[in-house]
Amino acid sequence: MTMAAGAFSLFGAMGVAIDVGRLFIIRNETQAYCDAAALAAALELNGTSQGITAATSAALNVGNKYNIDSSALTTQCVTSGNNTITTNCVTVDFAQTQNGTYSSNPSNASGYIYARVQTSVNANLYFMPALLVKFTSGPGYIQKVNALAIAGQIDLSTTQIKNGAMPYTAVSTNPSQKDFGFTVGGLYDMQWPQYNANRGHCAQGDSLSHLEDCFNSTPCSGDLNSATLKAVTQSWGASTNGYWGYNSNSDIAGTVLGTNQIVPVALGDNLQAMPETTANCNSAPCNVLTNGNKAVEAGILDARASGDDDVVLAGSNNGTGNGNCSNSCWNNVDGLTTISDYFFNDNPLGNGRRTFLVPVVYPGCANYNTTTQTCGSTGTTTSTAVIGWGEFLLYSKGTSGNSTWYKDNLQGNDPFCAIYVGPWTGPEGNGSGSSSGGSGAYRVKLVQ
Amino acid sequence: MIAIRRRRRQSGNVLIEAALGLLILVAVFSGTFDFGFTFWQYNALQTAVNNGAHYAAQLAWDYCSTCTLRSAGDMTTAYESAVRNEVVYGDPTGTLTKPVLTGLKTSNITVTANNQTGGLKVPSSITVTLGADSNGNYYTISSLWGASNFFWKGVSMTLNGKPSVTYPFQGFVTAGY
Repeated sequence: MTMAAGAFSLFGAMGVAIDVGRLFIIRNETQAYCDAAALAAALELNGTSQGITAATSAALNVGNKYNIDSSALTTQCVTSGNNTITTNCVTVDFAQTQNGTYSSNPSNASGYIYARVQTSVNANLYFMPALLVKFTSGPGYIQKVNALAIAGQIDLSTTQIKNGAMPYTAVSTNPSQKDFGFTVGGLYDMQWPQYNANRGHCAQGDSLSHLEDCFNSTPCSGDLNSATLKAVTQSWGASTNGYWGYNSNSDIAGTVLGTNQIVPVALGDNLQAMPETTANCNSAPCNVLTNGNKAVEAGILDARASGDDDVVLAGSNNGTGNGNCSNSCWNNVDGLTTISDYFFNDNPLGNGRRTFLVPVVYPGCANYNTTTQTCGSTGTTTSTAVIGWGEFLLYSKGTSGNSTWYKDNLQGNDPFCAIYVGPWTGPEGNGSGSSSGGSGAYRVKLVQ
Repeated sequence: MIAIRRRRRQSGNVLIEAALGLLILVAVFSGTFDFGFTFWQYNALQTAVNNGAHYAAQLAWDYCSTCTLRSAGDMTTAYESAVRNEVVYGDPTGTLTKPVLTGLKTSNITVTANNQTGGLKVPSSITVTLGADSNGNYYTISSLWGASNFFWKGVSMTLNGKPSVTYPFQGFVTAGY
C-alpha cells in the first residue's frame, strides 16, 4: 500500500516535471508558429484568390518548428476525403471580420482581411500515463496540443500615420466612395503641373469645362474630371501642387527614399496647416504644402523605384501584354497593365519599393467629419483635408537598380503621375497588395 | 536463541537500508527536478527568442551605404544589437542588464535577415537563433545540481541553433540616402 502510494506520487512528480514541462514548451513553440504564420498570411491578403493562395503558402512555409525545435510543421490538415490528416498539421483560413465565418478557400476573396492559423500536434507523454491521467480522449500516452493565432489588416484610417508616408498627395473629392472614386490601375497626380491663372478663362473661381487647359502641362489622366480640377484650381491655385514637406534636396531625398515623414498625419487633418518641425517655421501652424523641387525629385523617384527588386515570372506580360518576359525579368514596366504583373507574377515576392503611401486629400475641404465622411465646407483656400490613405505604384524603366523613367520622361512643367493600387495596406517591404474596398489605411497585426 | 541473535543485529540493517533508500530517492528526486528545471529554462529561452524575433520583424529596416553595417550588404549593427538586447534583457536599449537566464550573452543571439534583395536589402523574414557567442561557445542550460551532484550527473543541454524563431518582416524601411 505504502509502495503504491509512493510510486504514484513519484510518477506524479516526474510527470509534472518532465511531461508537463515538455507540453508547455511545445505549446509555446506552436503558438510562435501560429503567430508568425498568421502574420505572414495576413500580409499577403489583397482581396483576390491569388492573395488567398499566397497567404496559405506563406503560412505553411513560415519555417518555425516544435518539440524542442526539432519537428517541422508544413502539412495542411485535411478534414474530409480519403486522406484525412488531423494531427501534426496546420489549418489556415480566412474571414472578413475577426469573429466572422472562416473559410480556407472563400469563393470570392473580396474583403477577406483576417487570417487564422491553427495547429494541432501530438506530444508523447512518458510518466503521466502511469497515473492514468488523461487530459483528452485517445490513447493516454498522447496529449494533443492546440494553438491558434489570428492576424488581420487593422484599419488605421482614424489613427495618426507617423511614419512611412511619402511627401505627396493624391486628390479626391469623393471621400465616401470606394477607392475614393479612383480607378485601380489609373494614373493620378502626386505632384501637379503648375497652375496658370493667366491662361484663358482660368481665373480662380471659374468653373469651366476645360480646366485642364489652365495648367502649363496636362495633369495625369485619372484627374481629368471637373470636380477634381475645380478643387485643385480653386483651392490650391498656383502656390501649391501636392508636394508637402521640406524643400532642401537632401530632405526631399530622405523623405522619398526613407519615408522619414516630417509630421504625423491623421484623417481629417488640414494638410495646409500642419505644424512643421523645421527651423524656418517659427510658430505652428505652418504651411507644409509647397511646390517642392521637381528637378531634383524626378531623380529621387527613380532612385526609389530602382530600389525595387520584384522579379517577374518567365512568360508573364512584363507590362507589354505580349508574355515576352523570357527569363526572370525585372518588373520594369511602364505601361498601365502593371498591377497584376507586379503583385501576382513575381517570384519571390519582392520588397515592394515601387509602392508607396500618400495621404489622399480634398483641396478646399474644411472641417472634415471623419464619421460622416463629409466636409464642413468646400472651396476654402486655406484648408486641404486628409480624407484617406492611398497606395500608389511608381513607374519604372530600365533594370533593377537603374530605373530612369521620371528623369527620362518629364519636363519641368510636367506632373508626376503614379498608378493607383488601392487603399493602403500594411507596411511596405512586403510587396503586399491592397485590401479590397474601403478607403482606409491598414496595418497587419496579431489580434488573437 | 537464533531469533534473539537476529533481532539484536537489526539496528545496523535499518541504518544501511535507510541510507540506501535515501540515496535512491535523492537521486530520483534531484533527477526529476533537474529535468523539470531544464525544461523550464528552455521554455524561458524559447519565449525570449520568440519575443525578440517578433520585435525584429516590426523594427524599421535600417540599411544605407553610410551606416555601420554588420557586414557588407547586411543589417546595421544598431539593428542587430537592438534585437539581441530585446532577447537577452527584454529591452532593446540595453538599459536593463539582468539577462533572462544567467550567463546568456547578447553575442549568443544570432539575427539573420532572410532573402535580402534589392538595393536596400530588405529581408522577407527575420530569424533569431541561439548560437555561439563571440568566443565560439554555445549557451548551455545546466541544472541546479549540475554535474557536481554526487548522486546524479545532472542534466545539461547545449544549445546549438535552438531555439530558433522566424517572423515575416513587416517593418518600415527607413534607409538613409
